[in-house]
Amino acid sequence: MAQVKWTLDPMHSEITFKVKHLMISTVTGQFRAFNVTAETAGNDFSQPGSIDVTIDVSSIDTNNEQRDGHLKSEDFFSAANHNQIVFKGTKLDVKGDEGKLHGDLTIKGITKPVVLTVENGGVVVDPYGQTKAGFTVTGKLSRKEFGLTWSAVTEAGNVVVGDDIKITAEIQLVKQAA
Amino acid sequence: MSTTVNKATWAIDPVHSTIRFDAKYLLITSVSGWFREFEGTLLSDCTGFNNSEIQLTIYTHSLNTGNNERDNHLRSPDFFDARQFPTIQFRSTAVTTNDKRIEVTGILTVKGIEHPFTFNATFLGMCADPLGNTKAAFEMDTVLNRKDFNITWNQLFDKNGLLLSDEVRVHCDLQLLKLS
Repeated sequence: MAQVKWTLDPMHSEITFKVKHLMISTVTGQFRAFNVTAETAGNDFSQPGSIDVTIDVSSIDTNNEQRDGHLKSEDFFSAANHNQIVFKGTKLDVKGDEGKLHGDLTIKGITKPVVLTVENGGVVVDPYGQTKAGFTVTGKLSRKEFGLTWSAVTEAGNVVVGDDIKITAEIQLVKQAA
Repeated sequence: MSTTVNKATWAIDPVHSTIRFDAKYLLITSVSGWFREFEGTLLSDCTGFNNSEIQLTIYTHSLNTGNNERDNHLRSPDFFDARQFPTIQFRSTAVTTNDKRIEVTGILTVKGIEHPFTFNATFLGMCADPLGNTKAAFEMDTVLNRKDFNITWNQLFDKNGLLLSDEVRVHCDLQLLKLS
């Protein structure tokens, strides 16, 4: 079957992350600028030719400018030197509605293999006649493994910012005409 | 003689709190947004959160879904009608705690429509922050039907699918600062 290209619908896609604050509560943020492309055989995502994601670190938004500035600094992402997060999919195992996405993730110049969970939303035709595929991708990362090591502890011994980062991406891809 | 009961006042720390909503779009994935501006207080006695009084105000114009065009549509009369109804309000009428679980009953007002609303929240703990303030954390997750609040806009696609779900999931991560 002919290779089909898919591009991102940025208006209906989002990448969200969550981290524990003071060990008890949760702070949420999103990357507002990113791109996703995929190549598949027809509408079948079970063996994609490629899945590529790039995220613009400077688009980070946690609803607080001061914190966003800190996250872009050397203490965390070092956006001036490493403004792109890159994910290259190596394997997608989808059976029915669920599956695993394997790939190499690069943050702050450090590349690690990761396995993410995929919920396959299916393929539909939207009101504008575009064919769209939807995926919800979730996973958990250790920020320290990617060199985002800033840490502080309160007097009572509570860690101010947790190490585990929960990721949820809602992705809608638009099928491109052959 | 009246007896004095020690009350504690808590206020939402907006920097470490999130009020988020999401709805299914095209049936295949969800689109989310958050409110950038909100304020709330909790008045409790000093023994715990049982019988607390909760008040929350959310500013509808502050909604953000990462897309200006969509945000303006959501502020329009098709959705929140933010000019005529600048706030979403919640006030509790009963708060009962059972260990970490908190059942809250009250009145939720969206788009000028008052609706009785009961939800469960989870108390996640209390601690001192790096500045020495006392903080308490709560989480809640619920599903509302937007039609209950006269937010009915929709569109058909792909023969008979509805573009936008009626069910809207609301998730709050709230960190409260103890004031007194």
